[in-house]
Amino acid sequence: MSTDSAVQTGRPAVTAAPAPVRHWLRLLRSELRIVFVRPRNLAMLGVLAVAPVFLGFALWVNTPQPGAGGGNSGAAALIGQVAENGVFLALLAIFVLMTLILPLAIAVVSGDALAGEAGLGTLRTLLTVPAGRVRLLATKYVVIVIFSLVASALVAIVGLIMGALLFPIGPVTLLSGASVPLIDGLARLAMIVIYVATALAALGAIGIALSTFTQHALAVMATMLVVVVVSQILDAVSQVAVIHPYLPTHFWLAFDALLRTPIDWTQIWHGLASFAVYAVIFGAVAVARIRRANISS
Amino acid sequence: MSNPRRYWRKIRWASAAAVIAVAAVLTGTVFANAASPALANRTPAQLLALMRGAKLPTSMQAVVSETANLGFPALPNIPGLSSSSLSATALITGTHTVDLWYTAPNRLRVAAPVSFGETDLRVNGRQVWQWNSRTQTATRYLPSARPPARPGAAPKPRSAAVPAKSALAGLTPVQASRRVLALAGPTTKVTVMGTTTVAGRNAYQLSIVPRASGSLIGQILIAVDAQTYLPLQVQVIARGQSGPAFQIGFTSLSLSRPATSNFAFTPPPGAHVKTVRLGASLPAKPSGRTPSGAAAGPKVLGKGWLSVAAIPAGQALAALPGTGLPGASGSGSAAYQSGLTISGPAGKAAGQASALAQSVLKAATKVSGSWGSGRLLRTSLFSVLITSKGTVLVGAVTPKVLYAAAAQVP
Repeated sequence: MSTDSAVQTGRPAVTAAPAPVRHWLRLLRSELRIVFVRPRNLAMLGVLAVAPVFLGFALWVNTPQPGAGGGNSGAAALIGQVAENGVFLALLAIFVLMTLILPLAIAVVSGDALAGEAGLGTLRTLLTVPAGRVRLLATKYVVIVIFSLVASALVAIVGLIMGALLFPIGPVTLLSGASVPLIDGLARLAMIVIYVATALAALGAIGIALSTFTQHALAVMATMLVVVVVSQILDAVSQVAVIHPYLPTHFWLAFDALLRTPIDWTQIWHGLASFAVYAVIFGAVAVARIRRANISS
Repeated sequence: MSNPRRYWRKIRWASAAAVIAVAAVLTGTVFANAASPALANRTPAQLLALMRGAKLPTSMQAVVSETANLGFPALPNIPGLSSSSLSATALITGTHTVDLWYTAPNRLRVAAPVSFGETDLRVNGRQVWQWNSRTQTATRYLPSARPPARPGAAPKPRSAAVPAKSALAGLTPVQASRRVLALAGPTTKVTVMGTTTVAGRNAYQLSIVPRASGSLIGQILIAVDAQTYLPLQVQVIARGQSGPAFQIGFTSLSLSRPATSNFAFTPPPGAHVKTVRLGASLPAKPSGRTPSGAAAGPKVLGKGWLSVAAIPAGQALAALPGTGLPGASGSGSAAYQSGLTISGPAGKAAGQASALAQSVLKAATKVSGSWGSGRLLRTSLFSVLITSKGTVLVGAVTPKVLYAAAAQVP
């Protein structure tokens, strides 16, 4: 159990372990360390943490009228409520960052997962044990899932802290007009964080599948951002409404269902099912690809 | 295990099959497709009789979805990109969803959810509250001098004294199909076209086809619940098209009793609270004029499927968003419009109406004939003719029928 050597080499020794679970946990820990100490990932998390702070100060300096969200977009509706309740700053931050920055963070991590290693030439050494390929892929995907959860929770928590510092905090007015106690509101925020993390994890599955096809992490990131942006544009064009439910980003902002009374679980389940379908399909593509790929670098 | 290679090949195929199966099951839960259940045979006459005898459920929780795809020629803005689900053009195109909770005419909740917003109407006994999350406004409607509706009475379109009722009227497929059935007669072919599933309930598919060739309505399909004989869905298919141009139906229906917490409402802290006395507010709205202004309002020319509404010059603008449409084609969207106009101040609704009128006029083409001249707007389901005199003629008919009607207008 020399975790120190694992950190130094970046890898634990991949040998036939007597206790597969413990062995896998060691692999996971090492992969987690790699992802969470890599400077670019930390910078990414830093941007995610700064964004709610910036949003909070912008709204504090130029405080919107309570209930001024007469605008038509969801962001305007949330901005109108921030002045009344700081909890909405966390929601606004998630809403705003979900359009590009949060997906970008996942794109960076999933691009690095396999394509980045292949580019550096470290993937070949990792894959010397044939039976370890799928398990390595699974570990890398678990890391992406954890990173999704950390990223969305970070945005929510920083947003919540800034909201509490700059604006009053109290009972939360839901979209349906009911006022629920703060603790209930925070529970709903926690569910939103999990929902958003699931959405990002599904995107991560697309990313890890793309990551098995190339040695260039940048190509994976660019492709993922194109997928996200094109999907969002198509989602806004009503002429192609038929394909809207099948778009990967269609249910990303459907977490407003958690802000209604009663909670619109149908919409939440539709969203989660859509994410699951994407994760299953692209996860299968990644598994099929990594099992057969002839990796030379 | 004796032959590891073969074993792995099997595993590979099995896992591929499993992935497809899981994806199919998950997709199936999201997009449940309509099946054709086996039901006892019914003639159209039997079905119509059963429908007339059907009783409205005493309580329900439902989601009603309305989709309009009227095929407007080139409206100036792409509705989806204007990012407003309540904008003028969005009201006549796209899909709208309304949630219903109902236990009695004086105990109901209607919610129109949009992305990060919601408009609610809650009727709890004598308390009528309307909530708009975008403006954070709670409006309390106080009853007029007249006593409120008797409890236990079914919400009929005629008894539209309370706004809650007028909002509900036409919102449900029940009302929409009643209007269609009223048109049935010797001019109409009615058949039972097999069975279907709507909102998870087995239903008969009743087909109504107008015989008049001047009608733009190709077929109206009504899905009739096999247990309660209530209409679950109404689809209006334009002549020569396969998909419905207008559709209203339950996407979810439960006849269980909704929680009472749905009907009670207390304005949340920080909300703008307004009080509106109904008797005073109604005349300000276009829909409120109907009792006194009906005689001077739209005139109906022609009969049955070929009816054309002629709206005199001055009133045309106010009535344009769809209130003048005869038959089922417009009733749903018109009711939806009236359901939504109560959500905002009357001025805002009028502004939307004029904005819509502007965009409609831009899309209209110039026409002329022995009847005079004017501008014609043709959609898949109805035609609108604005004559040079300012009269607006609307009908679910071909332009020829409109021209003939225009000749009759002095």
